[in-house]
Amino acid sequence: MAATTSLDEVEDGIEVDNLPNFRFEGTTEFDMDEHHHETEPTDLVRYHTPDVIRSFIVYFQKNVRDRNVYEVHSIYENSFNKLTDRFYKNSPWPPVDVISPLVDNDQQFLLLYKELYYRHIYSKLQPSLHQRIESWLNYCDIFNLLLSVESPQELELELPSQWLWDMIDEFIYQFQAFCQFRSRVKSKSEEEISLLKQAAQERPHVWSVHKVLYYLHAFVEKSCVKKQLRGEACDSPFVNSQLYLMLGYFSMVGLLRMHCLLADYRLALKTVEDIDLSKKGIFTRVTACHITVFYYVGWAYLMTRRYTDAIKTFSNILFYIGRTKQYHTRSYQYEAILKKNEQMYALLAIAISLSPQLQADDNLLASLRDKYSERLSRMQSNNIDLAAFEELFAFACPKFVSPSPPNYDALPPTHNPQEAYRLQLKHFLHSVEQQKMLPTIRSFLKLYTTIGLPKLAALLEQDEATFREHLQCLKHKTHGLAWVGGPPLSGEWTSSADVDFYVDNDIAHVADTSISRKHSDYFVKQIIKLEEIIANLK
Amino acid sequence: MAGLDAASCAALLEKQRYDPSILPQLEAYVTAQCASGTYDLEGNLATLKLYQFHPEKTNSGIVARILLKALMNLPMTDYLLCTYLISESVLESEPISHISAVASLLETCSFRAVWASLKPIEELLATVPGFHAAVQEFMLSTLKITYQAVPKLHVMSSLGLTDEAVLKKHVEGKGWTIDGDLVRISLNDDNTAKPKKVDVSGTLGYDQMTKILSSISS
Repeated sequence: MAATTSLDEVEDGIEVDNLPNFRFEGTTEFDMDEHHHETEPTDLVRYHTPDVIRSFIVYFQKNVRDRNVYEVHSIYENSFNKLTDRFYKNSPWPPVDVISPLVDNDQQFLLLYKELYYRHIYSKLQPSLHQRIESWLNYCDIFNLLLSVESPQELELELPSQWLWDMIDEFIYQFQAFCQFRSRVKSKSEEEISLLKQAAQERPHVWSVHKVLYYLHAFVEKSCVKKQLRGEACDSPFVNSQLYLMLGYFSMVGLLRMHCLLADYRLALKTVEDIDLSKKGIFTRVTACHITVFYYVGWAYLMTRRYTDAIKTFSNILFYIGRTKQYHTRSYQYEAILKKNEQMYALLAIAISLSPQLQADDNLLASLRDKYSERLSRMQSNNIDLAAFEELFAFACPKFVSPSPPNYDALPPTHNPQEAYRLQLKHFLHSVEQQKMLPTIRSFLKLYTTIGLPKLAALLEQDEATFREHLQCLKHKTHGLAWVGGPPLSGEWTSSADVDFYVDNDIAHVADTSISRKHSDYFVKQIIKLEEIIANLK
Repeated sequence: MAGLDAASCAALLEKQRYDPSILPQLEAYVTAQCASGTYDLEGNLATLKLYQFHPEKTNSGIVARILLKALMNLPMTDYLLCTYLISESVLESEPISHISAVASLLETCSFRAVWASLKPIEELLATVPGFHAAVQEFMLSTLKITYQAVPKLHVMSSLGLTDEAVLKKHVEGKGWTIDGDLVRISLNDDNTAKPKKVDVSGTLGYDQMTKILSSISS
């Protein structure tokens, strides 16, 4: 593909039924109220399970067993969360032993139930070391089961895409949470540390980076998703399985995230080489996946110093969220979407400050100024304020992990649980610092069409040769790869400068850049705004 | 066992990317790249990643060579990509701390100071033939996008040259010319800033018209 793909094209592809809140027309949703007034159960001996929960579990298992994906989706996304709010806001769901007799000891269902059980503990409560390990073992059981079969028919399992996405997403989240958990050595008692050491010795695979990567790669492999995306033939019984295709695809996105958490940005971008971000791909089927793809690709671009590409990527997804926000208000992931939205605005602010653009969308710029006007001016001033960059970086960066466990017996005095984060921050600020003269140089160049170097150097109180080096630096830093379609890692070598110039001996010639704005847009917007005001007044 | 090349390395990584037992092969590959003047960023990043997973296996001599090779590929951002994977304690150890200093000077285009900064790592540079030439090539490419004409003295002090005959060789190799005290660089897209007119105007689209039609008609 030669031409730069317009961002609008992507946006136009959004269909309302793809959004989470529009899927449930016609499902006979589990009726919580009908069951609610039933008599209290009598078997309070061991564990008290409200009747409504017991019926819910039975209903849930029946629909999973019948492979009623539509219904399972509704249960998963609505009923489960509503019941959580009602009964289990501050306590875990019933343990699997209590559930097991209700569902005839259906092992497959129990594995899935446990996935939800532990995920709920992670989101509402503080998981213990034991629970973290149990959750890991449960993921292994699920994944081993999925990977062990020779054909998808053996399993007789279908799950909604949303759940599959959440499963992979949660798996990586729990890995990252475990890495942080084990590195916070100082806040732990000796007993906890000895438990951790023991766990590391007895079960070295638990939440190990190798095993996590192994599972993600295995799903990509098994599903043949890469070949399918490339349109190549693949001789595998799993090709036609929606379950495996989605798992493979989501695992690929999971690998993108993993490599970003591990700061391997090139490998991160290479992982998604078969996803064309300019087209409406599979990622649009699950909003959280869509946002994740763009957030991490944008992040990898930002850290690779491909600022123009980062700006394009973030703008693209911010447009999308802005346009579809109203459909997400009922989604259980609404909060998460809003958080990512704010984070990506912060990253956009960073990228635009490091690489001022001629053509940026007015609406996005306006929202950006609403949110971060104070920081923008600190980042863009001639005397750039590193603290402003650091604040936004801290707010918006992924949760980096140190992949190897700390050596508990010989902990270096410099041990810092935040080490992975600090390293990335340090490198990032170093990149920013290398550009610290550029805003000043830019602002001077913009004042002239031709100007003598001795005069400019004198204005900056520098010798001419040093000033020449600043000009070279401006050229160097504004030249780089820019994506023009195809794999995210690819690009063409171009200039992204907002002020273009060259030097002929000791005269700098600055190109005159004029932008003619689209006035019609402005008027149309104002007319619509006025109409609204008039309508409100009436 | 035969050494790796780009293709066999890619095949190896496809299968065993995270397996520390391939480290000896990858390390030998890094040394081979230095000796033969070839370059494989993919393989080198995989080496650094294995060090990241198994810090106790880190070989700082190999890390230093990887970083030098990455610098030789400027203006690409390879060096930056490599540093993200290297822990702070390794980055601050010698000789890697010296390489960081060189990298900063190159990245800010403070070329004149680069040559003195190479002194502490001369021994190491001897194991990476072609380093000086690659750095000079990066400098020339930066001059090429900045200048139409640049004082000879500035070019010489940037490239670390004292001999005008050597400058002449560089200039001729690029198809540029020496004109008195100036080096004239052939014109290219980047050293000929043209007045730009960014046009975001255009006619009023149909979809825009429909939005306001109702207010016009009422």
